[in-house]
Order: sequence, then C-alpha cells, then structure tokens
Amino acid sequence: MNLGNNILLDAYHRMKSIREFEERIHVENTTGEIPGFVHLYAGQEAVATGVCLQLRDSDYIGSTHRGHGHSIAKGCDIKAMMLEIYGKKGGLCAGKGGSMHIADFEKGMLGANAIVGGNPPLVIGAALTAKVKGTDGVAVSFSGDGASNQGTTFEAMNMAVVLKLPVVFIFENNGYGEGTGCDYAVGADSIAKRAESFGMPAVSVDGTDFFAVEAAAREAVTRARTGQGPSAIEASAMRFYGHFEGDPQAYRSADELAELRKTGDCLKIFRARVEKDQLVTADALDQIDREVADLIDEAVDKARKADFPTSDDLLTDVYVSY
Amino acid sequence: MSKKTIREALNEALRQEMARDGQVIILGEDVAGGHGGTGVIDAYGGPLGVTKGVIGEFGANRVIDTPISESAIMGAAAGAAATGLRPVAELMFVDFMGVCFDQIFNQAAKFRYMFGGKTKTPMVVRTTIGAGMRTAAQHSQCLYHMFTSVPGLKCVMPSNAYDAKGLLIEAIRDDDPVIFFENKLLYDLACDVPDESYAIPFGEANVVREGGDVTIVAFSRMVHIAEEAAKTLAAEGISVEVIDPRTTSPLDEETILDSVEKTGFLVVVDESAARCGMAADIAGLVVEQAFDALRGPIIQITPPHTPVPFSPPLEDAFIPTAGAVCDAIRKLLK
Amino acid sequence: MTIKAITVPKWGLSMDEGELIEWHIAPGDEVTVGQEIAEIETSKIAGPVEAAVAGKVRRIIAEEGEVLPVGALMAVLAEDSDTDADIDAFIAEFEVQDVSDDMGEDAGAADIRHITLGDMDISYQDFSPADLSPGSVPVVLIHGFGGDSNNWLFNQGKIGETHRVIALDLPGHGLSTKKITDGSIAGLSAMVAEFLAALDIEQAHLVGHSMGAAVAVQCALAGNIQVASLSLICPALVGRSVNPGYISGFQQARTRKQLKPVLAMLFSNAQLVTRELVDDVLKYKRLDGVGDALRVIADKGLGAGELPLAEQTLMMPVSIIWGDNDKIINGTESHHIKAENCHEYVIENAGHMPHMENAGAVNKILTDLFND
Repeated sequence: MNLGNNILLDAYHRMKSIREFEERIHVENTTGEIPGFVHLYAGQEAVATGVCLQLRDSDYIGSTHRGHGHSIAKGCDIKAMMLEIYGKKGGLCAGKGGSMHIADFEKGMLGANAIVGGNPPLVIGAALTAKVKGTDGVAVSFSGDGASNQGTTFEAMNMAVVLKLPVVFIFENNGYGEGTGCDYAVGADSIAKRAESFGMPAVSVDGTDFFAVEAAAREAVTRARTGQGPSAIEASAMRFYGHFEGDPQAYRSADELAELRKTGDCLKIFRARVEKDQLVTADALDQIDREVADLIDEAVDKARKADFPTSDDLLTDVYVSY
Repeated sequence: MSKKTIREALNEALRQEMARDGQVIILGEDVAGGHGGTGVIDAYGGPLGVTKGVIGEFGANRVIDTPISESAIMGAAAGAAATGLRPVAELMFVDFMGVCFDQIFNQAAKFRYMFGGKTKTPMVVRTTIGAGMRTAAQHSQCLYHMFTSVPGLKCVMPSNAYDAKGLLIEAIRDDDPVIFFENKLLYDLACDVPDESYAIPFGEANVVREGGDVTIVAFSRMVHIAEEAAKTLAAEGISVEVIDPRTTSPLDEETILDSVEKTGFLVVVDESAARCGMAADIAGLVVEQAFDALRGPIIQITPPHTPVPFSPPLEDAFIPTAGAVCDAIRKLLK
Repeated sequence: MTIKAITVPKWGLSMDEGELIEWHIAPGDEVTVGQEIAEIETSKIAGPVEAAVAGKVRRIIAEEGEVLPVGALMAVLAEDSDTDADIDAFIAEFEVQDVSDDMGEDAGAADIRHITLGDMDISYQDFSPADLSPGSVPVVLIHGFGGDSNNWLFNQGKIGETHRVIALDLPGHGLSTKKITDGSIAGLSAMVAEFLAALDIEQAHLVGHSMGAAVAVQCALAGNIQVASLSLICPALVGRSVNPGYISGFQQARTRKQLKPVLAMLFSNAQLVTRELVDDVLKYKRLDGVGDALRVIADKGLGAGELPLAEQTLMMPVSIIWGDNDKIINGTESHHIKAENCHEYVIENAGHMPHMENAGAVNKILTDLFND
C-alpha cells in the first residue's frame, strides 16, 4: 500500500521530533537543570510513529517510563512536554508529573507510567469504555520486553480476549529490561508467540522498519476498530541510550552500540527507503530537520526560563473535591 | 420507606444509579456468575449476593463478569473511569489488595495529581472486610487504614443500611476514586431505608448516640460493638457518646474533637490494626488538637498485632468486644 | 367504673416509645380534660401530655426519666370512693393496648396512603374516628416550606376525635413526588384542589401552616374547593415578611451542624430541636429532587410576592394563629387578610411552630372553630 507523500512527511516529522527531543535531553541532562531521571526513546521512533499514525485523538494509548516518543507520536505538545520535564508550572502536567508521567487526555495520551506493566490493565479499561459506549474507539498499550513478563500484562491480555475488547498490545523489544537482556529474562522464544497463546492474533516485526510497523499496526487497529477484538505486535528495536540517563551500560559492549548507530537507526533506514523509491524529496526531509531543530531549541529555551510551581500548588488537584 | 438489609440497600443503590446514569457499569468476579457453565446466568449475583438480579435489568454489557484477575479488574476500572465511564468494580475480599494494589494506589489514586489536575477518575471499588466468619487470615482483614493513608483515595465504611445506600450513591456520583468497605457480618442488618435515591455527603460523622461522659469513635461493625457497650454502661449511669465517622478519608475531625472537648475521654474501637491503624490515627489527631481537653489516656481497642486466626475461640478473642470496651471505660472513669 | 388510666400518647406514626421528662401533677391533684400533666420526649421532639380524662390523681406509676412504650400506664385517676384495693386491681389488670395503628383515643385506623395525580404521586395520612357523624366536614392539614404531614403529629389525634383529618405531603415534600411542575402558590393550591377532588371531598376545613397557610388562602380566593373554614398558623405571604435567612439557610444546609441552627429558628425553645429531628430533616433534604423542588418553591412560590388579598373579602370563618416568638415571620408588620368573621390569636411561648410547641392551645382554637 502506498502511504502518500503527506503521510510519509508526517511520519518523518514525528520520528525526527522524537529523535531530536531525546538527543537534546541527553545533552541538557548533563547540565543538572533537569530534575530526577529520564529514560530516552531514541532508536525506537518507528514503533511509536508507525502505530500512532493509525490512531485518532479520541483513541487512547498507555505508555511506559520511556514515554517521550509515544507522547510526541500521539500529538502531545512538545514545548509543554519540555516544560514538564524541567518541572515547570506551565508543563503538560503542571510540573507535578515529570518525565515519567506525561499525559494529555485530549490527545488520547493516558499517561506515561513509571510502573513496569502498569498500563496494560488501564488500557483495557479505555477499550472497555469504547465497547460499553458502542463507539469505534481503539486503545493501544505500549509495553517493553520487561513489562511483557509482568502478571498485570498477562491479566490484561487474557481479559481483553475474554471481553473481546478493541485493544492492541504493542511489545517493544529493545533488548534489555533495565540491565538484563531479554534473552535471559523472557522465558519464551518470542513475545509475540506468547501473546498469541492468550488467544489473539500476534506478529513480530522489525521495529526499525517504519513500513513494517505501519502495516502491522494498521491491520491490528482495523481489527480492533471493527469489533474483532485484541491483537499483539512485537516490534524489535534497540534503544540507543541506557536504561536511564547516566546508566554506564556496562551490560552492553562498545561494539553493540557502534553497530546499532550504523545499521539499526530507523530514521536512516526510513530516509534511505523513501529517497531510493523517490517517495519524497530530500529537500522536504531537510526542511523538516530544520523545523524540528528550531522547535526543540525553542522548547528548551522556554523550559529553562519558565517559572517553577509555587508552594500553593503542592496541595491542589489531589481530589476533584474533598 | 421500608426496612431493608444492607445487602438490599446496596443492590437498590446500584440499580437506581445504573438507571439514572448509563455510564455506570459493574465489573468483577461473579458479579453475575454462570457464564460458560452448564447452569444459569446470575448464578451468584456477586459472591455475597449484592449484585443479584442487576444483570437481568441492565444486561451483560454493563454488568461485566471478569476472569479472576484483580489487577486487570482494578486497572480496567481506573482506565474506564479516566475515559468516560463510572465503573463500580468489585474486589471480593479486601485481602486481595495484595494482588492489585498498584492499580489502585499508584494508578487510580494518583492520576489527577500527577497529570496536573487534568483528569478525573470516578471509580468505586466495593470490597468486603471483617473478621468473624471463620474465614481465616486471608479473607477476614479490615484493611481500610492502608487505603486511608493514600492521598487521592476516599474511604467509606457504612455501619447500617440507610448509610450504605446513601454513601454508595454518593460514591458513584463522586468524581474521585472511592474505596467502599462492606463488613461481611453486617449484610443482613436491616433498618428503614427510603425507596428514593439519596446521597450522604462524605466527611460527616454520624453521632449514633449522644452522651457526656466518654466519647467512643468506632468504624463499620465496631459501631455496633460500641453501641452495645454504651447501652450496658448507661444502666450503670455512664453516658457514652458514640461517633461513627462513616468515612475515614475525608475524616470529620471536627465532630470527634468537639465530642472530646465535651467528654474529656476518648476510646477508639477499630478492627483495622493494632499498629498504624485508624485507632492510632484518631488518637494522634486528638492528642495534637485537643490535648488540653483530655482528662485521661486515650484507649485504643483493636485486635492484637496478629493475623486473623481461624479457630473459633481464637477468632473470638481476636475481635474487639463490647465487654472489653465496657471494662476499659469503667477503669478509665474510676 | 370510675377508675381511669393516663397512658403514654402516640404522636405521629413513627412514635413507639417516649421518655417521661417531668410530671406536672402529684397524687391528690384534680385533673381536667386537656390539662398539661406531663412532659414526654420522643426521639423526634418533646411535647406536653394532655389529660384525655378528668379526675383525681390517685396513683403515679411512671417515673421521671423512664422510657415507656406508647400506651403504657402513666398514672391512675379515680374518685375518693374507689378503694386502694380497686386501684391495685385496675393496675394489675391493665394491659397495654396495641396502638400501633391508632392516632389517638377513639380514632380509627390511620395509615399512609398514596394517590396519583397526573405524573405526581401524593402521599397523605388519613384517618377518621370510628363514630364519625354523617355530614361532618373533613379537616385538611397543609404543612409549610420544607415540612411534611408529620408536622401535625400533636394535632391529628385531637382533631381526629371528631373529624376525618387528612394531612398531605405537598409535592417536593415528605413522601410525595419530588418533581415540581408548578411551584407557585396558585399551582400548589390547584394541586390541593385536585387532590381533594380525587378523594371526592367537595368541602373541607383548611388548616395551613406558614406557606401552607398561603396555599389554603389561595384555595379560598380561587374558589377551587368549598372552604368551610380557614385556620392560618403563622401564615406566609399575607402581609408579614418571611425571614429570607431561614429559607436560604434551610436550602443550603448540608450537614447537621449547618442545619441545627436553622431549625432552631423555628421554635421558641431551641431545645426542642433534637438530634433525631435534625437527622430526619437531613434525610429528607438528601433525597434526589428535593433540592430542586425547594429551589423552585422558594423562587416561584415564596419568592413571587404576596397573595392578592386586597381584592377579596373572605366569607368563611377565619382563625389566624401567631406565635409570640416567631423568628421566621416578622410579627411587627400588619397582615392584609380581610374576612367577615376573623379571629386572631397569639400563642405564648411559641415560635413559628405553635401547633407543635403549644399544641393544646392550638388544638382548642381549631376544634372550637370546626365545631362551631
């Protein structure tokens, strides 16, 4: 299927925005201005983008501690995200959530989630809303290979099958759960096959190949949207950085990282493909590169200068009413 | 108006709210029961019969039987609440919080705050509490104190059928996550309950009995233990005020403090825990804010710091009794 | 037999016991019918016990502080000629009558009934004496804003000795439908007329309290039923202004603490507002629809201005009854009722609820009017 010029440019814009956002945080994090810890998504951009291109604002996604990419792919405001990561009052969550809790319900972003395996039960709830209300809404859970081993994930997959919910489980296999390789920690040969055993269609795709992810996601989201129940996709793409910023990554060899940048960069792969097939022009892609760079510059600049919340904000928004 | 048991009052509240608001759904294990079996649907109507018949009125799209997967139930309720439904999820026994607490205290309770006030999570978790049914250590606890300590949750524990209906309706209409604790031993307790819908606001204690000599604060079934003690002591000329806070979060601190200012003595009867439980919480409140009014030590009557035992004589010794309350008050006022 | 029993009265349908607070009589006293002989407190309210029989007090049975079931023997009256042995025998043989369905001595069965008027369900208490004389005109009791048929618990028994007495719950109140279609006084009056027509009552003595009195006056002005007499207890909208603080306070109170001082405004003696009374009103206010109903009535009924009294002289006998310490209706202003045959009374030691606080005096005024 031909995706068309506009869709490809949109996809590249989202992927490039994620990459630039993460590369910049990687740099800025060393200044000490970003509180707490951040987990970067660089390397996995094609997965979030290929999936979220299938979704509307009224569809929901649940994300992980490594959630910047999902947020950007789902349409969250990048400047407001940066403000949030800097802990500023004007952030997407008023500075109360931070990197691991970015959410924007108006964009269908149910929240990054700092609990590994935290989101699958929540996402089936969003799918349940669509089913009970009889809308054609879809909910998508992003989990890593680590979360694929959590009991909450198993419970959510089984219940989604039992209740035939419009949900898609995306398992982003980036090779490591924290500092332990998935070959060690995932007992099954394949996360997709394990998902399939719950009673839903499941496929494995190369997560660095935007086109492969896009096609698999389109099929799964259509299945959900037309009332045919849940699906699962295992998409493999290694992360470029550590589990968290500052992770010395002693569990990875230097060769692995060098090779990854050379052969496993989804942006390079995308660009090579579209230029080879003459789907979009190099100029158009270069133009996006410049726009994104400017946007991230502005976002960082704005976030640095913005005000922190005040002590009054400490006590608000615990309850709707109390 | 007619006499209804707590079980009937809760069933009526659920039906009336589901009829009023199409966004209200029920989900949990065997809330109907019978799916996939060779018998009938609604075989259980809830493990303790509270949701009996509701599926017949509202259908399987809104009365949802789930697998035995407490995390998925609690998470689905939270996710559904955040996206436009008003789920009433059932956690069969509060003891099972051990396999699903993340979805309640890390997810539902914190959504609003960590997302900067941009969402609401109008879910209710109905769960059962209480020792006395010989159901041993993993089906008998009163863990409301653990939920009470989590900001973002509201905690409700009715002691009678009138309160049960009005508080459950309030819980369903409330825009925050509410944990609703039903004592298993009280389900058949009846009193006058209006047939119409009504909501009792959270954070207002019920003064069950007025008195001037000593204040008892008690929760859930312990309210009845306190009342029994108060009646016994009344015959001895001791006038006991019994306060049922009805909700531990929010807590009606004012009614408790006012009463202690009047009586000067406080006894808390609490089945939750000997350590860091509601008794300790109330005692801390009164020591901090009404210290000068106190004319004697605060007495905490709780189970011992043990799991709930199985053998009947042991379990009977575990649960606070009216006799123990009377003895403590007699000694206190001597 | 000249030996007579003084027993615990039943006030309202829900009373099953009462605490004897104080005796006002002692052995040897002569007691007349209607005399206040004791004070009893129920879970709802405290009230005086009036002697239903006359005679000399020979024996006091109940002790102050004692909680007694309805119908229990409190004291014995007798002639000097009755011996102590006779009295002992009377006491020994005395049995508490089952009064669970009775509203007063000689009253017939009373119960809560419902009738459907259009999309409204109207609840009412209706009872008649067993020996109701044919042609007797029924008495209809109309409560005020936020009240209900139970406000008449001290009056129904006495009136019911001679008349069929009907106490209704206005829409938005008591056990009636909470949805109000027309909250104006004219609308409520039309509803009362429709209600009575549905009961096949063409003519009635109307007794109204506060806003209920305005409804009764409107019935007389509109002529939508035949009004045999009008008894207006602390009537609203007839010239004296209503305390807006009460109306808004009653609507806004959500907790016991907020409501208690509001209810205390109703009485001369604030001690009458028991915890249970506050709880009962809170239970009513919590019902779905009550808040909206009260708002509509406050706006369209109480808030719509006085009744058009200047245009008409009322032809039926009228009694107007005020409390001397009414904090709801301003007692210094003049009223605008014009009537051929009008009597005005001020009840001492009474606030806005003289029919509860001094029921004996009010009952006498009412029954004198009905039996005139």
